[in-house]
Amino acid sequence: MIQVRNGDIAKAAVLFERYSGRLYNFFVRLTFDESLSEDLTQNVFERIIRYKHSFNENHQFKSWIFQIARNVRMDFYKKNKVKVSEEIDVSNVMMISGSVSDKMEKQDDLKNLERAMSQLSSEQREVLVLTRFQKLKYAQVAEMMNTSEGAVKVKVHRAIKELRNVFLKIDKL
Amino acid sequence: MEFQELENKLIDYLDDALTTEQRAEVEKQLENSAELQHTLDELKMVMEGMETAEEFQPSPSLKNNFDQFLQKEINGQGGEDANIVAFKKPNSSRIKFLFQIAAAAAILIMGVFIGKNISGAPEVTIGHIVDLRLEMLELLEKDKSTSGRIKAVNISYELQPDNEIVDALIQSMNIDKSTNVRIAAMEALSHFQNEPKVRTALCQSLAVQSNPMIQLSLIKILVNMKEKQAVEYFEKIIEKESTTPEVKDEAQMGIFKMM
Repeated sequence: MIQVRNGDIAKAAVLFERYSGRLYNFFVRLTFDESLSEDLTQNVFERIIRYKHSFNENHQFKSWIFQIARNVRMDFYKKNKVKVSEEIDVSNVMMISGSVSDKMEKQDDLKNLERAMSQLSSEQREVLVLTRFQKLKYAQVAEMMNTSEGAVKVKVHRAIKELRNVFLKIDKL
Repeated sequence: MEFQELENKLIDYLDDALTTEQRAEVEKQLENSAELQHTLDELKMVMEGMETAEEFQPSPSLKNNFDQFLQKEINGQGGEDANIVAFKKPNSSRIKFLFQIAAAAAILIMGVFIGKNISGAPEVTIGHIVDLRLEMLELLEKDKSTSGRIKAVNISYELQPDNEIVDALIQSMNIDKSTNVRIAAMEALSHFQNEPKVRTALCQSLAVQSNPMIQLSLIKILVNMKEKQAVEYFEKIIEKESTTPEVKDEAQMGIFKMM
């Protein structure tokens, strides 16, 4: 990223190789919309190049890029006047969770887990996607959310407990 | 220990985030409670499910679109910032350009007045300062011309800030009809940033300004001042629907820079 910031824009291709998949997965797990997720991922890379000068090497690149991803998502919903709580289309959830590989031994559990994720609040889903699926550290998420590491941990624990409750309800159906 | 607290311990246990002693304590409780063991199994299934979830694969069009975009950026890269021109939203560079023009005009006007009225001033005496102060307050309040009010703002640089001067500048920053005067007042106030009242006023001004040029300028000033209370105002401006994406991004980066 430092090379991109210094004017070597072609190096953004390396960043795309490394992060486009992760960003795409971040968006899919939050929106359950594959096409929208591709657009939002593209938007993140446009912003990275546009705001390359604002990158500060004192902050971790991973935190920075996911912070931009969060902004891109929020701006999309504000621009389109959609509440974040209404961002998920149920038919998309069925399609996405149905696409989980049938080869997996615990395929039903994984499908139900995806469905349970879609029933969490947007904030809970986001902390889980960042810390569990994307494996960001609590400190990195805290930096992004302008809060303390402890506060992030509390949010993550609550979200895990809620996910377990929803998962069990779905499992019983 | 309450059940909720125990659940938290179980999550930490699965995350391997407990000390040896805490771990031993949890294991002891697990041995004595089938219900707790059951809860652990359920949490484990959910947590492992997240850790081992399959990755979704984007379609090839994502990479194709990015490659096309990047190529355009590289081709359009004449100067250091030329890439910005190739973007979908040219308004951003236009706003920055307008801001630069406004800032340059303000500086030019400042220079003229400082040259005419301040640098050539006679030896500074208490009487002279009192006169300057009165002149400044009167011009700022009553002068109908933009240049007159900018002159007043510039006089403030020569004075020790007192409540009346600070209040007059705050009022100009917030309600003057001229963007240039508002920017000049904001700049002048930033020189008195050691005054808590000024720091608060600069933060609060972010809530009343609607011009993106002024918003961007204020954010930069507050970030340079490392004013922590500004974070709250940055968050509000990000939430505001009418805020432009450029200002939102600047505010977001501001929050980052102040951490």
